[in-house]
Amino acid sequence: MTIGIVYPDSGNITSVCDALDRLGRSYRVLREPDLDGIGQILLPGQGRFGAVMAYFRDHGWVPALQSWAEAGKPILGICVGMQVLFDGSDEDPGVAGLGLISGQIIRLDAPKHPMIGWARVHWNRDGFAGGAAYFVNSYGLSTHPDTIATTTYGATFSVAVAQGSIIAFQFHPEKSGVWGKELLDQCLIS
Amino acid sequence: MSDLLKRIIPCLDVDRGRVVKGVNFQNLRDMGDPVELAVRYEAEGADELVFLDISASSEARPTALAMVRKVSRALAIPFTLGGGLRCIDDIYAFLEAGADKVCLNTTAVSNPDIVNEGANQFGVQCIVVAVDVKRRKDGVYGVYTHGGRRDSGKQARTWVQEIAARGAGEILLTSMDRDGTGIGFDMEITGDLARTAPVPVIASGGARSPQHLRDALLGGADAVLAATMFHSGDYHVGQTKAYLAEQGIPVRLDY
Repeated sequence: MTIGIVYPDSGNITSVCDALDRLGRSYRVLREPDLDGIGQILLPGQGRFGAVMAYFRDHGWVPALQSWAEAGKPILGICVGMQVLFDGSDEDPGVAGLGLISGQIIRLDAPKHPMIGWARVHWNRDGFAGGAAYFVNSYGLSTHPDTIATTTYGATFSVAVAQGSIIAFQFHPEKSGVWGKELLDQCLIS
Repeated sequence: MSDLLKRIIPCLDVDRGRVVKGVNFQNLRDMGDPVELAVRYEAEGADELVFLDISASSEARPTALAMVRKVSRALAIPFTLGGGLRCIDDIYAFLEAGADKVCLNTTAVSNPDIVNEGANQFGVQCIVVAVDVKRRKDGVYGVYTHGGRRDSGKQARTWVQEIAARGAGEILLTSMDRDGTGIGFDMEITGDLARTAPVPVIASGGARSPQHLRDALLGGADAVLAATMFHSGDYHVGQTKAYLAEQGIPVRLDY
């Protein structure tokens, strides 16, 4: 099956495409919700919350992603691609997120902004290898019932969530070395 | 309590698509293929890489873009491209080719609005601003351009605050007094700016040993950049990180 990478027009997705090439996955970059033959949707981590949601609204992605999730089909979110799954974000107050998972993205209570660099990831679910991931963000999800991993920088926040057919990471597995490559391999359809 | 780790960043000077080594950009020696070296540094445990394109001519631009494209295909860690970026289109071209960040230097001083424009268009996380400093006679650190030859008239501390406010996501701080000397980082300015800057500070200029990296990281730097100590083969990135870990510095050891 083919992975559909949604291209929100507000940043480059070269890194994530290159990572999928290294993993030998077949993918298509989607500007419009043309989902024939797509088995998993990947929401990449480029751009700010409001810009990505504006693109989604203008191109029919909001209903498309909502019915995709309701049908129980897989979605993988990375960085802002995780954040837009929720109801809203401090980054762009008043802009509605996809609301596929309930919750609010907050500005991190962190010593420096943006949080840039590698940080340890602590899983609270079996089947994931411990390690360090590469982060680039100023916003994130506070503690949440669907949290499967946390990281502490200033405060402890949720860096991975799973709910139904959705899994999402605040960090960038495509930039997290061998560890990230194995994690992506585990979470992508083949 | 923080899970954030300190970063070790090898820096590669690139001239017309080849990694080179020289002193003050003179007597350049070919050190090899950038993609091969990048992959080797990743395997040795480098946390990120910085490529500085020192090709003087604009005809070298397509070669640099092709190199970035190849590096992006091969590398699973972040990398930054610096050198000769003059406008938003340059930034766009290198990010599109696969660079995670670009590093602006002289351009940021002569046209600081490019920092705002770049941050607005591509996000603060991909705009690194290089700040080259020298200690002036009165003890105040000034900001220099053109490889340390030209005094911009700006003061380091106020300039760092200004570019961070404009949207620099990181500061690459180089002491021009120490660069190439191998006697260690200038910790007076590095410590000061690492503590006061609202964004991460990468220390650069003067590192020749793992002890120098330790001093900068203990002094507050968020990351350290080093070239010669790794390229010469005198130190291995992984062994250096093992040493830093023994010294109590949080670094990434599982790679």
